Amino acid sequence: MNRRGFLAVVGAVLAAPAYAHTPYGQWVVYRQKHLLVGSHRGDLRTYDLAKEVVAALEEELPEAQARVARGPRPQRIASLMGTGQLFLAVMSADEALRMARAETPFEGYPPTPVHAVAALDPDYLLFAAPEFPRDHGRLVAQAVDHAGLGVRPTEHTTHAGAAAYWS
Amino acid sequence: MKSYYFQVASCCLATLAAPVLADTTNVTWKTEVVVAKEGAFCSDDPNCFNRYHPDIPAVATASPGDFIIFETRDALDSDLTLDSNADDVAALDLSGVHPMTGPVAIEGAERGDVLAVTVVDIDPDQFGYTVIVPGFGFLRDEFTEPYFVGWKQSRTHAVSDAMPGIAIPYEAFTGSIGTMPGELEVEDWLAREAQLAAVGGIALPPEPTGAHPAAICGAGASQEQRCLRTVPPRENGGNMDVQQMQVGTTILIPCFVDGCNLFIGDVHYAQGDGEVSGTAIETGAVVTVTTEIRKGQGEFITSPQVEGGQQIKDIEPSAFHQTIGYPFKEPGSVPTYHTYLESEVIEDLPQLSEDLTLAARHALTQMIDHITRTYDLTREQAYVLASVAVDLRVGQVVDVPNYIITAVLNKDVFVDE
Repeated sequence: MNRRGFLAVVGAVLAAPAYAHTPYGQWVVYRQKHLLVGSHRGDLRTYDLAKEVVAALEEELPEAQARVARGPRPQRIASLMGTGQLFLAVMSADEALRMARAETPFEGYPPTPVHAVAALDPDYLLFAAPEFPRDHGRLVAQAVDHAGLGVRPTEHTTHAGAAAYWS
Repeated sequence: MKSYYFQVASCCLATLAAPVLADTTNVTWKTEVVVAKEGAFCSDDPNCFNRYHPDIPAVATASPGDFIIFETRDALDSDLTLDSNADDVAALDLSGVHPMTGPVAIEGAERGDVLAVTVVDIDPDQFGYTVIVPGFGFLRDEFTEPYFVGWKQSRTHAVSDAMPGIAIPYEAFTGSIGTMPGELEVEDWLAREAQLAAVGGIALPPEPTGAHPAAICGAGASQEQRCLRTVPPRENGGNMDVQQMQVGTTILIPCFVDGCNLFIGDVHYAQGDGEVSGTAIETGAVVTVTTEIRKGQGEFITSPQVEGGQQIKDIEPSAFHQTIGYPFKEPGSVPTYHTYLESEVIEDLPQLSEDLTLAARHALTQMIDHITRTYDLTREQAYVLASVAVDLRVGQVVDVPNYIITAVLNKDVFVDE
């Protein structure tokens, strides 16, 4: 898939389920237009790394119009990913595991599993929602790799597209 | 002799001062009912809800005349702070709007009555914000990126590092105030909004995600498809965003359930008529009101009305700049507000007939141009300023086809003018 196709599919496929969950239909248009990379204020390291990921995507996939989204706390990532409004996020490995298991502080949220796209440093990874298309995962992993920002994740379930790239 | 006078004076002063030293604090007469804020978010708070349904129970009871104190949350139930930025706006979850405090049952009130609610005081938080949310707001087709302005608030003015040279006067009001609908209203309002949505109009269906109380309105709960969203104002009031509802005014709201079940939330520190960017200066606050029951008046007052006095003058500017808007448009386009009407007739027209929405847009875009040209502000800053300090007003609705809406900028907000 070329880059333009990447953008088109982001809009047409990924955003579709979000319509059912957001109060303003046109808010979805924004999340169709931009590939958001989630982070949260509870751990500002995620914000710094998300900004670096966005810079890498701007360099390699400018059509994705990537930008950072910073929630107030990690539960916002669970909320947005669980309702199809966010597909990429930077989290610590431990936090992602607890989100997948709906453990503290994610009680009250459905289990929200995420798949690793790239390891950004020993503790933090770029994760994608499992439904993030395979080709998209591959392109994002490639962009992060070309920017020298990430390496192959080894200790987590890897997104299928990213796994194809790193192999 | 001088010393004698001094002694006499001191003696008299001491006598006079004696009553002043007495403590009045412990002498009270008000009956206060406090609906406190508990927990960090609405979801943590038994005194908070964000959907309407008659099954949502009252959390307190008050008598007419009691001073009811509502501790309210901001419209987005947000975690925004003075150091937030557009990245925080991009992560907003709008399914939580609007957290309302209450409801409070009024003793003796019945369905068919009108509740007269007098606003006694609004004590705002120290922080408020104005945001541009993509896809929301009157010029949503033009302003498509998130934007954030944090305000430092006192009881006189709000200022922001992001809006240099500007001080917005304290003119707080309850963006949302209302009574709980009954079963019949829920039925009717859901039906009419579904009818509108079916033809492409903007109507928000029930949304269990983020709904509180979750046990009634959340996913899998008994009323998940019957809990009304708080965004549209309706006959029960709610999110009216009418700035004339200042402290001292009395808001008349029909009652649809016994007890009326009054709620308040979404306080605006200040707002222009129109709230054009989609948000005013949004803030939490402590709101004090009293109530009076007007028996049987629901037969005549079927939607909210407001009684007031000097307040409507107090919020007027002492100096202003006004733009005049006509229902003009670009040929070959269908305004975003009219797309659901699927009227091919209007597409190629350079103007529409008797259309106040387009006239408002014309007045507002001219005002944004004026602000950016005159005050060295960006278009985003101008849009935010218009949302909090520009009043859209009807000029006339008779001079066909060009009805007029004007935009009135309050020039008092500019510190150096």
